[in-house]
Amino acid sequence: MDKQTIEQKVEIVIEEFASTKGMEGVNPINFDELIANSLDLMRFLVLLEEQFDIYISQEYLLMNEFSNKQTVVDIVSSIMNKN
Amino acid sequence: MDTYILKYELKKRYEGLYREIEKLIGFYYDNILSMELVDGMLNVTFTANEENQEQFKHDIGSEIDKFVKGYKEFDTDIMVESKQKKEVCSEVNDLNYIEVANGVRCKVGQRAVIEDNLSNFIIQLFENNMSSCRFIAPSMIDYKMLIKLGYFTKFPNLVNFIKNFKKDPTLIRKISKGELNIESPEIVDSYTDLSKKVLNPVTCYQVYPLANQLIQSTGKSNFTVTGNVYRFESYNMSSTRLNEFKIIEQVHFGTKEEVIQIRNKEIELFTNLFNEWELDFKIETSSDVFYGDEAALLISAQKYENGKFEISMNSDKGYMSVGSFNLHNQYFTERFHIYKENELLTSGCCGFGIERLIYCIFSQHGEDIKHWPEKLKKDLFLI
Repeated sequence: MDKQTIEQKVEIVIEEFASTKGMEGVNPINFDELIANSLDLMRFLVLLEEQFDIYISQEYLLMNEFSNKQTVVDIVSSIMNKN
Repeated sequence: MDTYILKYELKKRYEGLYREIEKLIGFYYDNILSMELVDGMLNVTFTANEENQEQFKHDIGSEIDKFVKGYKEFDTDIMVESKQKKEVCSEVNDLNYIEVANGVRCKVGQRAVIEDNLSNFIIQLFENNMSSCRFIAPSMIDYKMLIKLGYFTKFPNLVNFIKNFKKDPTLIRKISKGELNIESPEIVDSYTDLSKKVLNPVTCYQVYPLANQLIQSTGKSNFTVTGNVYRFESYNMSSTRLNEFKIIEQVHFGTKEEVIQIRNKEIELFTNLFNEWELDFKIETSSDVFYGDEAALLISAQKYENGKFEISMNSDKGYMSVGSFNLHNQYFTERFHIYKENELLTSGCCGFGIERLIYCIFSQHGEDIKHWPEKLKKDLFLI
């Protein structure tokens, strides 16, 4: 999957997650407010995993890079490349 | 009732996942006979009637589906290991620890003395080292308060409700004269109303609704809470899994840094104490057993933020949890608007289940206190 497709799909996940919280239209670049706590983060990861059919392991979680679109795209790309 | 097997393919093959599913199923279903994992296939043996066995397979299958979807594998970090290691622990047959109803035990004679002295020792330890204020928690809590505390979303299966006879003088008179059958719980049910109170499942739950008032009136931010708690685990009762048991815990409020600092201090305090008592124990990262659609997510979130460190002790039943050190973040302070100088506080707690702690001491050092370490006997006034 090319990077542009991954970016588009990440944006879809961000929007989908935002809509579950009634926060549609949130800035898809930095979304600190959207992921307010660890439980939110886990909910967001489930959506990402479903969208890309991947598993995000502890090593990626510990990078604390899930509140910025570009870093999310990088992580997803890295996992998909490994697969 | 017949025996059936559900075969479920575990696509995510993590060591921890199987253990968590085992806990999930063990906690919530009383008709599961066994569970085993063979080459990625989970075989769950259960009893059911022929007409509802397919439904049960479907229910439990979708329960596992939801759990697997949200599951994340985290390494278990061992924070502390005791100096002492026990190869063999003896079975506890304490005759002074008497079951009077399923999951309900009275403690008699020396067993009662040990429980009282151990409780007082831990209370003093908290008070002397953390400058805390003592708080005796009542056994009942307002039903709506338990909802506000979020207990029903996480552990609804454990709640013990209370019922009272209807306020009907004729009914009461008939019961008193023995004119109504009260032998069967189903019949009694029709004579009763549900109380607005339930039995308290967590001692520190009594503190959060009062926290602002307590912090202001006492000038303290640490509270040593004692009380009995009630958790209904239906079929799952034993000498170490009780319907009613005693908890001593400390609740603290402060900035996140302050609460983590207190937690570290408590870990050090109890590590030193249990080493002095020559106990075999460990403290490691852990999580609660949550219920519901988001159970796996709640477990993952708790592990991700190191929200729970569990202290377990060796016994004839293996390592058993006797307490935990918990960081709640702002879960409770947000619900009850607990602020200091306009800043929303963080809370944490550290608690011990007294019956289990005594069970492990008996199992490791034997039931004859003559053979217990001198420091332990001295601390518990048993010399």
